[in-house]
Amino acid sequence: MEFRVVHDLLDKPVLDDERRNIGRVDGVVLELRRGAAPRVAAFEIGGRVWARRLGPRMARWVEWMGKRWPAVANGVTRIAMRDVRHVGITVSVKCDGRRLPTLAWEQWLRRRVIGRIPGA
Amino acid sequence: MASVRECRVELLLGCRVVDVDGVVVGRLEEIVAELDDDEYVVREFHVGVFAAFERLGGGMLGRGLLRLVGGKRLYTGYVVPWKVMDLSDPERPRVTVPKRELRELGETQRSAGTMPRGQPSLRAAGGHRQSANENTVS
Amino acid sequence: MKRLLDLTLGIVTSIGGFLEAGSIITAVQGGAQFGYQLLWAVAVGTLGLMLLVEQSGRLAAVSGRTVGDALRERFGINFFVIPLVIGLLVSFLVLASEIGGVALALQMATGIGFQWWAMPVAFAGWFLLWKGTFGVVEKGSSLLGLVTIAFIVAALKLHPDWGRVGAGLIPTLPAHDGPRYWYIAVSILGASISPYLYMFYSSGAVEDGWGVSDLPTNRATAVLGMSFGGVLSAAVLIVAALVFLPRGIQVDRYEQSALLLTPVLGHPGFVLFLASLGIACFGATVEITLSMAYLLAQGLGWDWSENAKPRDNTRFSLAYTVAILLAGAVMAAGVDPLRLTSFSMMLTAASLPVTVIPMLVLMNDEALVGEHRNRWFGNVALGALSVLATAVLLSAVPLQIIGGG
Repeated sequence: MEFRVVHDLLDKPVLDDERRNIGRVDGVVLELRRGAAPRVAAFEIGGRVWARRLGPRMARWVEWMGKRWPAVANGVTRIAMRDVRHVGITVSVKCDGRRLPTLAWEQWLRRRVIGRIPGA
Repeated sequence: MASVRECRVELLLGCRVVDVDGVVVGRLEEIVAELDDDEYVVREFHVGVFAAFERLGGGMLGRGLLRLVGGKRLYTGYVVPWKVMDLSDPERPRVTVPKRELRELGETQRSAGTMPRGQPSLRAAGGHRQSANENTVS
Repeated sequence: MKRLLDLTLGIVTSIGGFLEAGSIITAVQGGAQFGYQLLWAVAVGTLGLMLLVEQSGRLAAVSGRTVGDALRERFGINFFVIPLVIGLLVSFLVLASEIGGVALALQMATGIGFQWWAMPVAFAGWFLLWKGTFGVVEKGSSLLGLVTIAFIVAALKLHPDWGRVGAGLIPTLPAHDGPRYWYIAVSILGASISPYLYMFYSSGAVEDGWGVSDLPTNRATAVLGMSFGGVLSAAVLIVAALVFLPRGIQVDRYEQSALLLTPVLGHPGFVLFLASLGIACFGATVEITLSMAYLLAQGLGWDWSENAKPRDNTRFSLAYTVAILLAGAVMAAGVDPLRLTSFSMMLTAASLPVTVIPMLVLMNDEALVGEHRNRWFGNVALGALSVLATAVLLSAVPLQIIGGG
């Protein structure tokens, strides 16, 4: 079975074990090996990851943000390809999304902001 | 012992690829991987020629439009097997053979996904929604 | 029988959002200054919207992806940020002008200045989004929006020369005020073909769980629903042509437009106008806010659903909360609502290429829409629309400078 990394994996939505949406594939990591074919090792989800794609200036700004406010800007989720169940219209992974940094904002907002407003 | 280095696909995308003589082959547009013994291993890279729509972010839109309008005549590309792609400098991918030795992208490789499309009425990837008929890769 | 009910509901719901501050004001100004001459712009705009709505609905039904999803997935983040940033910016200005429309209707009804109404209106919209579901938003604004039928009633009661009305459907060159004519023509296009509308529509299709079997409903809704909206805009233009043009009234304040229905319907006409303006703009307020949040959430991969509770999609809820309250603040600061409406319509028209041209690729992508991809007709029409959109973009700056009011 083969797949095309850009067409079938990059920018696609990612679902966890419980079919929960955990974000989009923002970046894909290739492992380069001497004497062997490169391996698609993992993919990453995170604002830092896609922001870097927008150009070198954006990439530098994102790095600066990461150093300045590590708690805010560093929520990158890396998921190894061996934890991937399917690659198709969506990407399905064998993890519990709630444990991943990618949903940290969503959960923090629920606890501190949105959840505090009546009617949520 | 194999030495391990990482390289990011999304930053490679759109990079200009030159051949061993320094001739421009095109820009990297796709990476084809296959399952080999429980690992996803890169088989080949696809390098496309779309001079007019470079890194501006219109790359993929431009290619899509070109394909729509001109098909084979306006748009060509090359297949670069992993063995001849040198990624020691990820910002400057190089092909280790002359361009003329590369195979051109065929019609089947250029057309839509290698995976059969899933069930039509797929719900959006929301937490409470179900996705139907995913294609199994592993 | 259920199909028929669904269809009727679909058509009714599609009306909500078509008539709003932009389409009302541009139609009134068009009729007041150029009589029936700009009816062709309404027709072209309506056809353009019909096309985009049908296609975005088809995309959603067949692939389960909304336009926002598809833009990110098919073209990558590098391209996506362009329609994202432009879309959010333009939508924000339109949103502010819609809140302005409601606030002005309230000002004319109560005498209390629109600036005081801006935040309450924004809060009311926010509350509806917070507590309501997609169905409530859609159906509520549409059913209430039926009050705008008053414009059609008024147009009929004025017994226009239908021959001359028909002639207005053919594009003609203006006898006077060329730049102003083209400025309003382009603004009418921007008001009719609002990107937020067809993007919102595709999100709605996914929220409602549309599938391939809903394609006929989609087509009927697009054609009949948008036609109805177009007829409403045309009615406004016709009434303005018959009421304002003979009196030489050039509408540059909302208060003048409020007199649109009084010659025909008396004092109830005034009330009906205010109700129409207020309700239509409020519906648009809520839909534009949602559409902005949809685009952002879908593109970045957040959970998004108006049907779900806010606590289940917190980033999405935060996005729409910030959007609507900020837009309310702009109006509360006292920006001129009419000028903002005009300007944002022109801006919308200028931003069309960025969302229309990608549709050409999306609707022909086998992986996305498979056998339901565009036939030659759909592509020719969409191509023509793309060319028109590009022409509008190129003429936007000169027009705004020379023809802007």
